Parts: sequence; structure tokens; C-alpha cells
Amino acid sequence: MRPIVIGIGNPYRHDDGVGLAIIEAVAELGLAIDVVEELGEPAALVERWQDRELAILVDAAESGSQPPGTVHHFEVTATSDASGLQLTTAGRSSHALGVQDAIEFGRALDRMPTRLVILGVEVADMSSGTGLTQAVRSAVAPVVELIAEQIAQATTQLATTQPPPDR
Amino acid sequence: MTHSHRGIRTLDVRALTRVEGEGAMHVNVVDGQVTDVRLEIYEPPRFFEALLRGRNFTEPPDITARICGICPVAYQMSACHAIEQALGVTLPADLRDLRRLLYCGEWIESHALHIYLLHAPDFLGFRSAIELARDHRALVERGLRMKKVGNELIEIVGGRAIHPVNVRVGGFYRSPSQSALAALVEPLRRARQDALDTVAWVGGFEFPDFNGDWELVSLRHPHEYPLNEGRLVSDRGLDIDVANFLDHVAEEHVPHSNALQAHLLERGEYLVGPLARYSLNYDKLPEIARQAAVSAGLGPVCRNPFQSIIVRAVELVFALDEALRIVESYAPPRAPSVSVIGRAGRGHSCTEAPRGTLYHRYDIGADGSVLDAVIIPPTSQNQHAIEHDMREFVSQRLHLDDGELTRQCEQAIRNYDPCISCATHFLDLTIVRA
Repeated sequence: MRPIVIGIGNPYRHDDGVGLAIIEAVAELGLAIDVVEELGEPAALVERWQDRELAILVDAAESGSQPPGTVHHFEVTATSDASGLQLTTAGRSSHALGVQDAIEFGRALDRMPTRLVILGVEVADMSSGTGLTQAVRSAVAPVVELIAEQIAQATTQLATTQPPPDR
Repeated sequence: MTHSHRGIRTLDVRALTRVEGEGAMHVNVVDGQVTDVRLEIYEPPRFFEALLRGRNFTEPPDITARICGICPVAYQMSACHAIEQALGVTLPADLRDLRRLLYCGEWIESHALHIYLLHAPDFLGFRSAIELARDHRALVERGLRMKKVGNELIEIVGGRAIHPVNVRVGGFYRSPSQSALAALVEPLRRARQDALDTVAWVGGFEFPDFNGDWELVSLRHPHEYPLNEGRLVSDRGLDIDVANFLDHVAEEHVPHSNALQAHLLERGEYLVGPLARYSLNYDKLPEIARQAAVSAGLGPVCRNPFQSIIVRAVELVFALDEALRIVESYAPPRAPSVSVIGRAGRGHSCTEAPRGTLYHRYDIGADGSVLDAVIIPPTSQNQHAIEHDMREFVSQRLHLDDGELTRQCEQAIRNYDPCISCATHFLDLTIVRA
């Protein structure tokens, strides 16, 4: 199946809308991919990314230790968190079941993509209102570029390894 | 987190798990008496009410859909109906059916999610749906199958699965093709069977003996199980046109929460949602759903919040059966919408969101812009009742240690499927360098 880019966020919560701003820009690239919005609810995420060679998830992130606009980059497979970083959603995700739960849920049901790339943009302002803060807005273009690169690489790899057609 | 100091016992659950959104509960016990139970669970949509002022009357359905991620259709439906009433617009039967179908999609999705991923693990001794999936994969797959059908309905009728874009004041932008809906007949039939199996399954769970004494409030319609319209009725004699909603319901600020809590004037706390809907509309359920309820040992009235899992399963049977009825008789409407012209007026609407009655009111100016908006979601209406129940629930269980009491409280709160604050969706990161 072709790659999917999943954006999570709320445009009425300032920087929380960054994931949606990114997928909007990605959709305009006209690549042979699926681009969808999701809420972070695990069953829906698992449904979106299962059977994919590559799924990219973009979301707002809050580590508290990095400046706004910092891009956190994680890579997860069916069995390992390959980046050596541990991602927790600590009950702060809007659905107490968060992205980490979605990964565990996907593993329990054998419904993980071959590669799951998670891009989280560090936020500054999550209060009610529209529009991204300057630092976060500046991160949109580089993340879009990063996503385009990931997709180009994956497509090249697929072409060279000649995998079977869509399952 | 718990603290003990002499006879004072405090129970703080800072982040409730497996409820929709973020929330916290605070319980105070002094000398063996529960003195205070506070839920900090809900952020009212005041920002959205302010945001809507000055917008064109066409905009509230899309904007309010963002208030809740789990029930965007409910917000769209209440907004559309209220604005159409303000503008003197009535929809023909075919468009009305299509809206009902879309709403069924949301009920299916929301109830399947709550039963299988949020609620059932409590009854089976699992800490999460992930553990449940590891041990009972086929069961969880059954829940996901139903949820997927709900998704597909929303995607086909609503234009996409998240925050549907095909809904407008006056109807829809496009009506779905007959073939797209026909493809759902078999999945809907299978899902209806899955729902019947779900009723039988959850009917076998063990339920604590607990009955709430709140007034039950829901829409009631003369011919159908309520979704989009009806009068607002209760089991204690309330029977009003929804236009008079604010004459009977008062909201008050409570200091411990951003929430405005609602109560019935001169009557007190009340409960909206599946228990109320079911108990007030049992006679309007299709035979297949009523039979399932009877087989699961449910009477025509249910006041035990723990048994809401059975009621949700019965409502799943209803929603799937109703969706099937509409899909099987579907012919594309003559036009996807009726024409609507902005003019001065006030309109009200209540519709039945999966969690209960959702009230919207709009004042529209002569130029078609929104002058004022009032939105009262089901969870703010239920908050009083939940706190009341938690006080009683904790009082009966003070012999338990803090860990077990906390766990049981969390489970009890999940009975009400509270929508807490669906406003943010971000990742809270803790980075551990390996």
C-alpha cells in the first residue's frame, strides 16, 4: 500500500494545529500518498497505518525541555522503538489512550506498519485561539521537506526491492 | 495520589484514564464521612461561542464540529437544526433520513469504542484495551469491525471520517451515490449480528448493585428512537419544547472547575445519555433491539450506571438496524440541500449525541450573521449527577485501601462516558535517552 501521512491536531488551539498545517502543505505536494487527519484515537490510527510500508504521523508535542519549533523525530517498527528514545503520552493526550497506546494496541493486533515515523513539533501556546506562534510556524516548511524526503526514499527502496503488490 | 492526615483522607486522581479527554477527581474524607467530591472534568465551549459571533450562519456546523473529536456529527446536527429553525427552513424526508444515517454512524463508532476499548476492560479485570487485545483478540476485532462500519458511514455520508465536511445548513453539499451505500449493506448486517453478540456478552458481566436517583432526561419523538428531534421529557413529568430549554435548565459556575454545571430549575440534578434515552424510549426501540435487551436481563428502565455498557450495546443494535433500514431503502434525494437565505431569527435545537442531549441556540441578524450562540453539551449537564453518585459510591467503599478505591472510582466515572476536554490532541513527551 502507498505511504500515509497522518496529521493530528486542533486548529482552534493555536500550536496544537501544527500537525494539520503540515498535512495541508503535504497534500499540496501532489505525491502518490494518502494524507488524512486523525484524532489520536488508537483504533482509528491502527486502522489507518496497518498494511503500510511507511506511515508518518505528525503531531504537536510538549517535552517542556526543548525550544518551541524543535522537531522530535522517532521511528518505530512492529517490535522496536528503533530510535532509542522512549515516547510516552502520559495521559495528557486528549484521549487518555494516546499514540503510545496506539502503538501497543497495533502490536497486540499485529497491525503495525513496516515503519512508523513520528514527527512531533514542540509547541509554545496551546490556549484557545487560531494561528500558530512564529517559532512553530517556522517549523512547518522543514517538516514538510522531511516528509517529502522520507517518502521519496521509501518509494525508491520499494522500486529497487520490488515488493509484492498491495496486500 | 493519596494523602492521609489524622482522620482526613484525601484521594486525588490527577489524570483519569480511559475517559474521553483529560480530567481529575478529588475526594475528601473526614472521620469516615465523605465531605467533598469534585470532578474537574469539563471545559465548556465558551471560546467557541465567542468565536461564532459575527460569522455567517453557514459556518457554525463546521466550527462547532471541532469542539469534540468523538462526536463532531452531534455538534453539526444541533447547529444545523437550530439555525434552520431560526431561518424558517424545514428539510424534506429524504434529507432527514440521510442526516439520521450520518448520526447512526457516529453512535456506532462512539459506542463501539466505549464498550470495547474503554469500558469492557474494567469488567474483565484488564488494565487496558491493549491487555484485552493481547488475551482476547477476536473479541476486540469484533468491536473494531463495528467501529469501522460506523467510520465508513460517516465517510460516505459526511465526506470524510473525521470532522465531516459534507454537512451544511439546509442539507448536504453532495448526496452519496446509491452504489456507495449499497456496498455497506453486508457489512452493516454483519455488524448488527456483532452488536447482538455484544449485548449477550456484556449482559453476562457482573454489576455492582448501584442505582442513581437522578431525574432522567432525554428527547422523545412520537414515532422513533430519538436522534435529531423530539420534545425534551423526563421520568418525573418534564415535557417541553426544546425552545424552552433555558427556561428549565440553569448553568452555574463551580469554583473547582472551568465547567458550568447544569441543573433543572427547582428540580435538581439530572442525567442525560444512554440510560435516560433507553428508559424514556424503550417502546420506540426496534423489536430486534428490545429482544436483545430482554435476553440480557435488562428491564424497560435502567438506573444502574454500571449497566450502561449493556444499554450502549442495545443502542448499537438500534443504530445498526436503523442504518440498515435507511441504506436498504435509499434513493438519492432530488436535491442534496434546500435553499437557505439569511434573515433575522432565533433557533434552538436539541439532538441526542452518543453521550446525551446536546443543546444549541443561535441568534441570527438580518444580514445572516451570528449575533449570539449558546452551546450546552451533555457532560456539563451530567456533572452534578456524576458527583452525587461518586459521593454515594465512595461512602459505601471507605473500607477499601486507596489504590483499590481509586481504581473503582475511575471505573465508576467511565460508566458515564464523560467527554472531558477534547480540545487538544498533542503528545506529552518524556524523553529517556537509552
